[in-house]
Amino acid sequence: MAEPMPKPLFDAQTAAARLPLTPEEAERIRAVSRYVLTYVEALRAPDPLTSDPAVTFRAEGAGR
Amino acid sequence: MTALPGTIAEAARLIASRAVSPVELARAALARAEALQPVLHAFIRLTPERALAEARAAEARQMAGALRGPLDGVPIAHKDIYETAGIPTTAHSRILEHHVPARDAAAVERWAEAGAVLIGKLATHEFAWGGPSFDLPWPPARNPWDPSRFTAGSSSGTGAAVAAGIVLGGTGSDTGGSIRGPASLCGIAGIKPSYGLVSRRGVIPLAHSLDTVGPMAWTAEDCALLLQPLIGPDPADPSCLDRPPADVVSSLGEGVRGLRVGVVRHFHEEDMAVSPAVAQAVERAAAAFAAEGAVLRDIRLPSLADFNACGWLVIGAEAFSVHARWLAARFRDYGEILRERLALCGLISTADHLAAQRRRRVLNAAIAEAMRECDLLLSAAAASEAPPIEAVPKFAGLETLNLTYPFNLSGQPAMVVCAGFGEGGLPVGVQIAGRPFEDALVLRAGHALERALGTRQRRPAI
Repeated sequence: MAEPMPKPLFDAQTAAARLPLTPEEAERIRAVSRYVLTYVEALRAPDPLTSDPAVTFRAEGAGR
Repeated sequence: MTALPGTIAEAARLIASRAVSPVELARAALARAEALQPVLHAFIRLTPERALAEARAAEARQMAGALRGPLDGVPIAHKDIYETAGIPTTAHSRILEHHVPARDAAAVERWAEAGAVLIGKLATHEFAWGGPSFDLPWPPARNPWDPSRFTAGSSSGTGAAVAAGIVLGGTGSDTGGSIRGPASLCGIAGIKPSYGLVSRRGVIPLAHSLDTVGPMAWTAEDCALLLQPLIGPDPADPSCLDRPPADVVSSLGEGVRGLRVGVVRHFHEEDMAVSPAVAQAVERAAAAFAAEGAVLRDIRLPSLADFNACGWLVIGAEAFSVHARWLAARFRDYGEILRERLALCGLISTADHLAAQRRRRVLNAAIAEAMRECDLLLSAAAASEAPPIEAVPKFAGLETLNLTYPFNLSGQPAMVVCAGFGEGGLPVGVQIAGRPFEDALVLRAGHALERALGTRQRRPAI
């Protein structure tokens, strides 16, 4: 499990998103940010170059 | 008070033979809804004027021998993220408490054209993601099998109202499992149709690349009857494909003989812990399919953890984009659960989102490869029977894995049917997925499984 997001980065991102968090809310959310960072790390393994997000999902025929 | 028939199929027969009047059915549904509302909180609001007007029109068609089909005169309800002309559509949120749409959503229009009678607007998790919440203008829906228990979400009111026999069917929406979760915990059937099969026009979004809308009902057969009129192109929804309308009803009774069913056991045996009843339900369903003539084999897909990471990041990034403006301006008008979840989503970077979309394609390709060897996939649908509603953690979607994400990511049709009962007599569902646009085959398998298992005779005592 990843560590929570470093506080300076957390503060910068929530400010950029214009989220009016109280200090208590910020600490609660920063504590569970470790789940998000764990997910992000899980997806960092290189994918095939052809995994172009522009054609990630094609409704007709996807999964065939 | 007249009791409602048990299913839409039965109601349609009774209406067609003039053994029951649509007006009687509407009055019975409204009376039951009012009686159970203090316990179940399934509805945001009832719509008696529209219900009785639609029921009288259906009755006139009944008497004239001009019924429009099996939904004509049948009491239904819509999740309160489906816009309804002149009727508030709140998404169960203070943010939209006074939002009165000018036009019905496409699905609302299509059921109304088929003659269905709108009884009311159903509770949901806030904006189809935040719940169960106790700090909103309306309380969360509760499970008819035990009102101290969770319905799952987000189509919580639909699960409760259908399981309690208040309405015979209703709409849900499914971005990460919001039809299939409540179907499993409330002991009913629900199908997440193929992405692109049903128009989403007029449905308040959660995550555009994953959102699907679909029906929930007591049986798979009723889900097919409800899904049929929803299928078809809609120029107002570019994600809704212009394909010849599929027939999802005619083949329902053809059984599963000869079909190849892949059983995805590693999801619940290796990737996450589930209750004994869930594991038993999968084995019971597999055995029933085999007894009905299906050919079973074990199938391995990528780890559920990979689907979960990808699914959560895609939903989170897209949901944040939907809500960013309101979060900045009206943060305190959200319930605590949703505002904190969405705030967390503000930490997802563009690069993270695109990495998740790239991985999504790899995961989808893995499912497609596995499905070269089978027609359907069978898996667990939820981790357990319904937990106590007060015990659901705020960040439940992060702390536990989700068995339904894989088929949101891939866009495949997937349904849940009741496969038995576990602790305290609470229902347990299983999940059946098919190839894209093979929704009819999924419904046919669900129908066959319900008949083989005989689970549809048992109802909540409420």
